[in-house]
Amino acid sequence: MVTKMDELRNKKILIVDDEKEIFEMLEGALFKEGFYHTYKASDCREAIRIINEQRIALCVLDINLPDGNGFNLFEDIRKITTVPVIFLTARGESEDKLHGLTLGADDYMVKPFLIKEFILRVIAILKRTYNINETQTTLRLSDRIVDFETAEVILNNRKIPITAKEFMLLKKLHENKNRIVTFDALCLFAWGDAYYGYENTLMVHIRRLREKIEENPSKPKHLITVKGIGYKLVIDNEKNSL
Amino acid sequence: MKKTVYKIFISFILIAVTIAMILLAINFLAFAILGSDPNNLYTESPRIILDNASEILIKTKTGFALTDEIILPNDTWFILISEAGEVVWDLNKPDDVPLHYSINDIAVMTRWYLNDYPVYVRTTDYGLLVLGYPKDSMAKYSIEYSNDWFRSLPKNILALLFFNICLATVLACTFGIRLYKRLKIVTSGIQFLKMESPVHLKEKGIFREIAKSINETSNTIERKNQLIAQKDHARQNWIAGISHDIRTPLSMIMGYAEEMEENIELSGNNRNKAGIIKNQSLKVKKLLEDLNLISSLAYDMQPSKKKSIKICAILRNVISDLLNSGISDIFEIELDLQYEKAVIPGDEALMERAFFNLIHNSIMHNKDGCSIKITEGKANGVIFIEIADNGKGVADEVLLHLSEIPKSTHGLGLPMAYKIVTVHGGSFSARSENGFYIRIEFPLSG
Repeated sequence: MVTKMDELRNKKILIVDDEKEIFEMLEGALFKEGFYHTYKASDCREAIRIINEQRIALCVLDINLPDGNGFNLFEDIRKITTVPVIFLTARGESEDKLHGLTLGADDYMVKPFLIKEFILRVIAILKRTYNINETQTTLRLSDRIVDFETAEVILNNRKIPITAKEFMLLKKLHENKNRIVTFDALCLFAWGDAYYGYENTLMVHIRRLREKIEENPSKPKHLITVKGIGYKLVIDNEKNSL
Repeated sequence: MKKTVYKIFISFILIAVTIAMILLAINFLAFAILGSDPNNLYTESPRIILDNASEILIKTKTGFALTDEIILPNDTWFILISEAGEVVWDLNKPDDVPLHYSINDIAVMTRWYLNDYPVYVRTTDYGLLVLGYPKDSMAKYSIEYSNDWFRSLPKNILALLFFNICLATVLACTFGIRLYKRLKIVTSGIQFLKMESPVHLKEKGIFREIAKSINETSNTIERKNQLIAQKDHARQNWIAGISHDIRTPLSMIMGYAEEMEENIELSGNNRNKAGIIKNQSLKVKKLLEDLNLISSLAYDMQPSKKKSIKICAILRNVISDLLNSGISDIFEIELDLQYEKAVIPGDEALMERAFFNLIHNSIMHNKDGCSIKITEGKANGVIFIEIADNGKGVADEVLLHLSEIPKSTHGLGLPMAYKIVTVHGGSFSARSENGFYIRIEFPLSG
């Protein structure tokens, strides 16, 4: 039987880098992880050719290429396919990084990098893109369960709906579970760039969210306030390892 | 500088007026001295000659005679006119001098001339004694003043003096205002020079040479700054190039070391060594990331990206990152944000780095734990941020060299934060006092 992970590892990965050694190293590391289908392109032309010929599932692009740059190559690739792209480059300036991500790349890694981190990111992007979802869509918080797919809290067979904003905040906190998320990051996520003055609104939403997910909203056990800084979603991992 | 020009202008007018007054006084004295004829004073004056002559003039049987020799200036002559208007005696009388005179003739002669001969008269017991001088040897003027004139003289002199002072001031101002304007242009030029902004003064007028020098100096400064900027730019590019070129080989060193560290075919000893290579490579990676930043800070480069930095947001972010990274419980961080709207223009990533360095510094240097209090607020037109811990403090040596980027990467955190704050127009003060205390101030903008 083909497991979900096997399905993932059968994906074809294209690495575009003019340095042969980098390609060999990445290929070796991916091979060890079970990714047997890696393709190499050392310039833009070759990359486009391979993308047209093969069903590539993920592209890893360098930016400095002999016949062009990775940003342009990315745009050319987008005309053909919506395949996810990771930039892997020696260009470490934050402007380059922002440029790459603004174009719509799925990730941006700067050389030198740890192989392990690279592999983890590759797997994460593949899982996300191809919906090979091992992560839970539900979250248990003490006596109730949050269902992220239906945006509901389930308590004693009763379904409590979560509003869109509350859902966004909870999702953001969940993505960073057991870590502090600042007011600013939450407001930015929920209301966008001009989030000034939303602190009080944020407090109101958090209070309502607590009423839905906490047993005792005035003594929260999961949605904790970190005074002056932000909020933290505390989840006991043992109970939630479904 | 503007004040200086003003002072120069005022002292110029004062000097001009003073000079005018001194000249006026000197001229007045000189006129008084020259006004009296020294010939009359020091040689025999007509009056003295007449006095002498009248004393020695006697009446003889035949007429009149001088009892003694009298020394007369050349070509002078005497006549004696009787009550009846007849010349009764004469000495060296020219032929064109008449012998008979009416009262009108006498009146005219006493004041003016007798047949163009300048004459002086004196009354004697025998009649009118007339002393005649050669034609064109003397000029006679009569001056008359009313008593009123004499009475109002002191007042008039004062008024005249005052008028003179006023006139001198007005003239000095009129002529000085042009000087003032020129001077102002020149001084503003010097001001611009000081700020190293380009100066192009019009090269004319009395300050032409100075204006020319200022323009040339400005050009030189501009040229030099351009050269320096070019050099800085080249160096920056070089550093960027180097760090770029190192990244790819380092990737390979790191990648394979990482692989070897986990390769169970290798001995434990060798895997350890591979681990060390990996960790050292990570350090080089960190250095590479800082290299551009350090080199730009070392030369006081202005932040290239100018956006609004929300001070409170980045402080919260720095602290949440530190807390999320799992720092030990022995550290206690207290955050007190009093002015939520604090915004300064600049590079957010740089500023975040500065605050991270400062707070991280307290954690790094107090292994036994400490509490760190961060206060932010607004006071006296500045945004201030205070970071205070109750730890061991920092050596004086470090505080002394806060503004210098060290040659090595040790102890880079504080100087880097210092530079970042100062290139953003902030002030940075630090002292060791019951721990380490830092105060940063930014001018309130907008």
